[in-house]
Amino acid sequence: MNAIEVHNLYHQYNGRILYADLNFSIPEGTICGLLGKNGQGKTTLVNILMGFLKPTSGQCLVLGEDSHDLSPVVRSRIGLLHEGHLAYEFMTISQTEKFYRGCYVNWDPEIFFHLIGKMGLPHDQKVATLSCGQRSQVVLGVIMAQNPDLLILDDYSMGLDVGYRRLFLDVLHDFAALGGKTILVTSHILQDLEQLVETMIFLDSGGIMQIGLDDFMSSFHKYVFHNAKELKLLKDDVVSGFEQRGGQSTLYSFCDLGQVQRHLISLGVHAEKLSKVEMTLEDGFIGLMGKY
Amino acid sequence: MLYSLLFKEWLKLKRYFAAVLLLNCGICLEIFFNIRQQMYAEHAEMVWYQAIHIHSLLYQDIRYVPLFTGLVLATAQFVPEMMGRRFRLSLHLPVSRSLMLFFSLLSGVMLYLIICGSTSLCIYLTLQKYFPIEVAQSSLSTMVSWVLAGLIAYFGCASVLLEQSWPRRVFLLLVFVTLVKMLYAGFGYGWLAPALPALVLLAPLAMFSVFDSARRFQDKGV
Amino acid sequence: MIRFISRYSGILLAIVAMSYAFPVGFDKVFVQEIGSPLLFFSPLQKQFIYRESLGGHRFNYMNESGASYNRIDFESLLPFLYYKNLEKKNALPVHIDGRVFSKKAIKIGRQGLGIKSRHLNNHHPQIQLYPLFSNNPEVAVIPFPEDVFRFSDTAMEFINADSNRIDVPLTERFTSVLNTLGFVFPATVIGGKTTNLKPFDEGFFVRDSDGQVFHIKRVLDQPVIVKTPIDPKLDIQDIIVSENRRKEFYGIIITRQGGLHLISYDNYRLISLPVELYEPDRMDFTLLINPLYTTVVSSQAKTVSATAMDRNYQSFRTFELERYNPTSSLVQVSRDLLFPFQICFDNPYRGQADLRLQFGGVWALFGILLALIVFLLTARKKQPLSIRKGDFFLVLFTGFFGLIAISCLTRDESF
Repeated sequence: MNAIEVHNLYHQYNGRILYADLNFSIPEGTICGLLGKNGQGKTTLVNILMGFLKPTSGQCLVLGEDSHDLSPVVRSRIGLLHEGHLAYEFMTISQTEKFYRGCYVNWDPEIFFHLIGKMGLPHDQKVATLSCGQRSQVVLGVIMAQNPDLLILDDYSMGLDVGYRRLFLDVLHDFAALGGKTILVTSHILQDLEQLVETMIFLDSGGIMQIGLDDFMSSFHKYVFHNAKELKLLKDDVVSGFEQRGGQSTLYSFCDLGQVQRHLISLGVHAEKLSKVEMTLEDGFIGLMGKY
Repeated sequence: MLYSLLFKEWLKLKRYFAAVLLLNCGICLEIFFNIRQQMYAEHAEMVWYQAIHIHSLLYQDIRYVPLFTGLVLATAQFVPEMMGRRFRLSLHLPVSRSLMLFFSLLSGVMLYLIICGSTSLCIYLTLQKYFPIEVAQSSLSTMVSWVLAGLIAYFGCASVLLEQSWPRRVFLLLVFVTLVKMLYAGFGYGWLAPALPALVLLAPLAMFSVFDSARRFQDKGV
Repeated sequence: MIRFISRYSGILLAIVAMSYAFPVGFDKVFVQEIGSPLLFFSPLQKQFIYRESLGGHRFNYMNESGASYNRIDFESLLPFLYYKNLEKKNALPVHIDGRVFSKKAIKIGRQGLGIKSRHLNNHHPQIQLYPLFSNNPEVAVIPFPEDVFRFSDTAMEFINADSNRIDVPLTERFTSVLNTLGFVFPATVIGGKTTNLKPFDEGFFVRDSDGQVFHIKRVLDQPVIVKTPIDPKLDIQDIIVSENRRKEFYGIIITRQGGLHLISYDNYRLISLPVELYEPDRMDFTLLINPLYTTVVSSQAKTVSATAMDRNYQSFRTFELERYNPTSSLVQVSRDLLFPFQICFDNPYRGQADLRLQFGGVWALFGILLALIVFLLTARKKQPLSIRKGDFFLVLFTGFFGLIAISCLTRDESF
């Protein structure tokens, strides 16, 4: 059973087509990262999935219901984290807990206060006066105490220092370990995602590529070589990405070393000391999507 | 759930509610002392003559206070929801979205009516102390249109704040300004009274139009 | 369902606002308001003459035969009205038909009474509390009473302004006289002039629940009440009291059917004015009396009618003048095309809101047709049929108002 299903999604905004025919699904119990450069419609897609934007056409099912018209019961099974860790700033921490406790049948105040307790904040402190990191914990507390089946986290790392990011990840890992939980997450800090996600959706120019993290990290490769001349390699069947910094060139490809070597020769490129090097997810992202 | 919704609205409203309640009380006191002073300074029968036959409204100072009250309450409720588009949090609550918005509006309207009801009662009692009962009664039918104007302004303000497209926001603003202006038409006491049964219908229409803005918020939430 | 209701609520509100504001704005820009023509019977010409406003402080001075005058000649044709002009020219006394009228004779022979429909009973909000002036034969000025009276279901109550309490002795004094005279409470019409800026006071004329009219005065705080012989069957809309030194009549009774009856000082005998077309609901009227003639002018939206009478109130000449309309037909047609109807509160014949829909002329139908064509050309096929049908009927009934509201509020909506 899929937690999220997207069929033939078409959306345009101000005359610009963002997606022409988008199709993907996220099975229940998986952790999926949605990646894409700025302006590729990542936020729009998250908004559509969260139900705050009606697509021009196509179908988006979240836990089996149209994402734009979710029933209250299904909404109670979904935890949303909005960009910037949105919370009701006019409430204090205890008022936030009191408010949400009345909204969710399965609300677990212990989870909420456990997370808040880590920060040692007084419960009568206004959310508006909290730092971004502290607020993120309150929001996370709210989401976790709901005990949702599906989490959609829009850029959870925004504004968080490394400590709070780690804290956030710890909670997400614990949550995922409960089993049967689905998480869709976007973040600009790819090294965090590398530790968290199982599958990834790359969003680029209105199209997508969905791939398992392990598959991606094992099938996508980073090659380096030396070349004194200034080179410009365009994308083709072999070259997925290319960058040159000083005399060192970096090439990304799904092909093995031999194929890349033959391809470079056929292009007349003298690739000195061509070798495959270790690749991080961030490298892979740049290699696949480009820098801008 | 409903308790939680009302609790949230109360948290947003309580300070502003207290402030506008205080303002209303202040104006009521001012009217009371003005009338008292006038009754001492002038011949009472001449003050009566002005109130009854010249159609002077001795409670004129309260005229735009309900309008201001409605605008303040709507702003207090919906500006925090619009900052960072926090209304998305409310829309995601596990409750019917219409019901959520209805209770939001209901809490604002209740507080508005509490303020306006108390104010009207104060004016009524003041007039009853110094004038025949007919004069006090006529103040109620006169103030109803002002209270209605404040209510329409409340819904209008909510509608405009929830609206996402600027051209439509301007259009709605003009519509509601016109409707409010309509409710301030005329002069003297009871001028609008014959039209009130029809004008009262504007209130439910205005309330439902907030739902339309909220729907557009959800449809176009980029 | 809620979506359907909220969608059309917003649209309806916009239509209400537009149909209230747009025509008013249009009129402010394109339509010129002019004053009502002034109609008089000239004792010199023995026919009606009038001053007609053309807008922009320009006037036509004409007689009913079509002759036109300048202002000075026009005024000279009305010697009883503009006798001060004659006085300045040392042209007094005036000689008409062999009779001589001195300044004094003119002054005491004149009386004017203008009654606006909006001031009539039930045409404006009026708290039913009145000051009954206390007449003191030895004092010239009329002092304001310290109380007002009301008619309750059982009494004529006086409320003292200083104490804001019922003055029981005064109330009992008046009520007991009224009871003795057979007054049936409560009162149905109360007529009197509630100002002390008048030469003397004639109190109030009050119609009781049986239709009998009583004349109530207060002399040195004592009731002076007369049960008049006025026919109780008269369906009286209002009684206008107008104290005048000529002391010919107390005032005038206006019936709902448009009857005008002067209440004479001769034992309240009614003098019926021979005015055929007067509708109190939608006409103003003026009564002008001079030493030779009496004229009644009633004016309504499109015409002004006048009746000239002799001193015995016998009609001998009538005239109807169509009001000059300075608005061009192009403006009128454009107005009708754009606005099929208008929501109005103001009514020149009402002193309070008169909410109504005022429909445009036949061109409004063409306007609706035009709006429908634009609607059909721009309608989006993607919308559900029920919405398209609803919008169609809305434009059908509200023309451009509906079209504008729909396009402004629902242009980019999706279903």
